[in-house]
Amino acid sequence: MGSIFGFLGPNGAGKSTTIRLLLDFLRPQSGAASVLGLDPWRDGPAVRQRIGYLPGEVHLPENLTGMEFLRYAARLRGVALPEERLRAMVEALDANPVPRLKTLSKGNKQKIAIIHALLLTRELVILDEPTEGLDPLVQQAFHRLLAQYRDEGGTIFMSSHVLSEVERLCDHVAIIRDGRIVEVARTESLKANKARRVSLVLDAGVDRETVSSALPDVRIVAWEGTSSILEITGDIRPLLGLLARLPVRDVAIEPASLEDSFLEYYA
Amino acid sequence: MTAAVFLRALKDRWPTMLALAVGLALFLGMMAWWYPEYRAQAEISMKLLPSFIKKMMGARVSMARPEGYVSWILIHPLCLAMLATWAIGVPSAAIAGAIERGTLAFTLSGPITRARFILAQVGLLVLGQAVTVAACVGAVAAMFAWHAVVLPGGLAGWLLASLQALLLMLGIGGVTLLLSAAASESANAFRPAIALMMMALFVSLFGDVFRALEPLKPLSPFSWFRPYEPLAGKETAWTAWACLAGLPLVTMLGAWQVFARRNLSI
Repeated sequence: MGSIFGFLGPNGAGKSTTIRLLLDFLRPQSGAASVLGLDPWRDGPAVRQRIGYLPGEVHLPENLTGMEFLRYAARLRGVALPEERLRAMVEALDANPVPRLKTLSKGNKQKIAIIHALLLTRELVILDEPTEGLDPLVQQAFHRLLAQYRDEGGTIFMSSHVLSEVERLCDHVAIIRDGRIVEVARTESLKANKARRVSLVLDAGVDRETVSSALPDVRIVAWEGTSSILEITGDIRPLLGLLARLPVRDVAIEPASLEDSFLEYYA
Repeated sequence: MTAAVFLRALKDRWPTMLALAVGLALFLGMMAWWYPEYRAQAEISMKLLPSFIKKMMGARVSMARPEGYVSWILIHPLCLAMLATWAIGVPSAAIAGAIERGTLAFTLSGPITRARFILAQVGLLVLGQAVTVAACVGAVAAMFAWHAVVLPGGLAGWLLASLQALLLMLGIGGVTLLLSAAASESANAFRPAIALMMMALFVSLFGDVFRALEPLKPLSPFSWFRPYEPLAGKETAWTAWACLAGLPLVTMLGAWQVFARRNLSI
């Protein structure tokens, strides 16, 4: 089983530059990189033979049809076009590879570019802001294709600033700030370290002290009459145990989000 | 991989190549068709021309002679414009144009080295230029044969004259490829290439008219372009061949080095 690795950062943080370095489009002044155990600058062609790539801005050769473009990409790699896999992807994304690319809308060109990235390699695919220009339905189909690629053992390295998408898809996340990686973690553990917000409505008569003394790790953000807002980090079971004993009229627990972690680095 | 890029580029460009070859064959065939009439009136026409044009046109060999006439029509502005359309258009679109269009990222994200990419572009440049030059010289040779105009150089003369024309145009193509390898917009490759070509032509033509330009003549590849020599059965100096062959070689190697080392924000 592979992995989906999210590469997060706001505009200008260095996401696309990092990707260009890994693909040998840019040459570093210092430092080193390793892709699939190889040096992307010394062994560029060998590395890229095993990588699929979707650029941030998709500009396809307009005079070709989608099929001609994909066949050309296969010839460039010296491999046969995997017809069955192609058919499945075309169907999944509802793409049309028959007309000339110049006649397609931005979203439909993006679909062909996605197929190009995922079709010819099984090991690693690098996606730079992959869902720009896709409608929500196609985004869902695209997410299913990514999950399938991962389940077949492939790794997806995906830059994005759409946090909800990364949160939903990625197993691991790196956050880049001013060209430096400031955090690398499993998505779940990044979220687990963040506080969850609990909105609580109790019967009259329960005071603030009852809660704070039973749960010293819980921060009481607000307490007004019967309504209160709490913040809890880590294990939620002690809170649930207490709530089971209290006269609770309503409770809402907001899950911790990746956005909280992300904003922490950029606040 | 090189073959895939070459064939893809050829598929894109063959209609242009064919159109230029047909256009050049028609134009030069027509010019060669008029040669017997021109030769009959050459003495009178040369008398009517201003002295500086006479100097310019007849500096190396008389235009009344067939080899002089062929040499002149090969650098006729219309012929030069059509030949240079390939020599300048193809290399400027190959790298700088591909960056501008945004399509280079897809090609270079495949397992191709930049050297092989350049090689494919050079292959296309050479093929197209060979076809267009062959169309030019072939049309003139065919028309001269029709008029029974015999050149002392014979077939070897025609082939060597063609080779000179090919090397001259590849030199222009090489300069454009070098500019294209360093640029990110095609205009930044083809504009200076056109300017350099015009300057080189100007220096070559007017070097015989204005003394001040004479020292610059060796810098112009047009000064080393002497198709009248092989056509007349004479030998062209090795220095001329070296200069004609050296320019494309050096500029294409330069293009490879520049492109291989540059950062591409694609």
